[in-house]
Amino acid sequence: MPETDVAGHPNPNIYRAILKRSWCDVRSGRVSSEAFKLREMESGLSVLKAGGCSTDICLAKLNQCFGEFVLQTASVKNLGLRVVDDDPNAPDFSENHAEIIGIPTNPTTLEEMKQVEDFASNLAAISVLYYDRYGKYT
Amino acid sequence: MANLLIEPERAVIADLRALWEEEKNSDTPITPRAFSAAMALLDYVVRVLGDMPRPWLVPSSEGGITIEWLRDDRTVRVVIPPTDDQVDYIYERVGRESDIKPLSESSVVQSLRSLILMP
Repeated sequence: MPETDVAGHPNPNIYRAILKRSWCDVRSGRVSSEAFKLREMESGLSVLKAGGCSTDICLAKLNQCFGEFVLQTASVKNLGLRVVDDDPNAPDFSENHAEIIGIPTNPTTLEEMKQVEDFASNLAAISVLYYDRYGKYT
Repeated sequence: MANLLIEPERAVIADLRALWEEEKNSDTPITPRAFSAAMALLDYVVRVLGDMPRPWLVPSSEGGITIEWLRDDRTVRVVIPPTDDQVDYIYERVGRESDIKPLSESSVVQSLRSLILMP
């Protein structure tokens, strides 16, 4: 799969959906590391290559989504992670979807769990609230 | 008639109950296992340490709970997964240095004393 930033996308940013209201602290604006942990069946963190959600439209096609965080693609790569486009031959291919790759999947040892926490902390630290669907964070 | 004094519920316990209620209707509600473990831990920490900085309670995308205390560039994060087949742990971070250890009530108190409550 091609690297997202190498593929020449016009937008240097990527967008992560906010699945839980508490993933962004209303008072401090701080982003939770929980927003950047893989679920059991995931191989990479799902991101959008272009924002543009609205109250009625969720580009990530989620049942529940409170908005989006934005991250600079270059900053994600600087953490030692890759951002890759969907495989065009995959049945669920989406032109606007990419994944952050390199985070340990299904960690079993404390060392792997520490890597997961380190990556999640670092990704949260470079994330900023971009879209607040329900006005929960103002 | 006995004079019953009912201690008001600590704010952090009320926060946890509120999060539990809020998440009930989500796609991935907090599991009873995660809620019970978080409640037991917070109850212990409050009883031992008394007043303490209010933690940030965050649900995971799979039904677990993260309890996080922050002070300047220091973090004490307790991660409670949704199911028993996953490991509870404490993640500590000071600046860019981090450490991780298995969860126990006493180790949380120790981490809070050394990283968050220190003068």
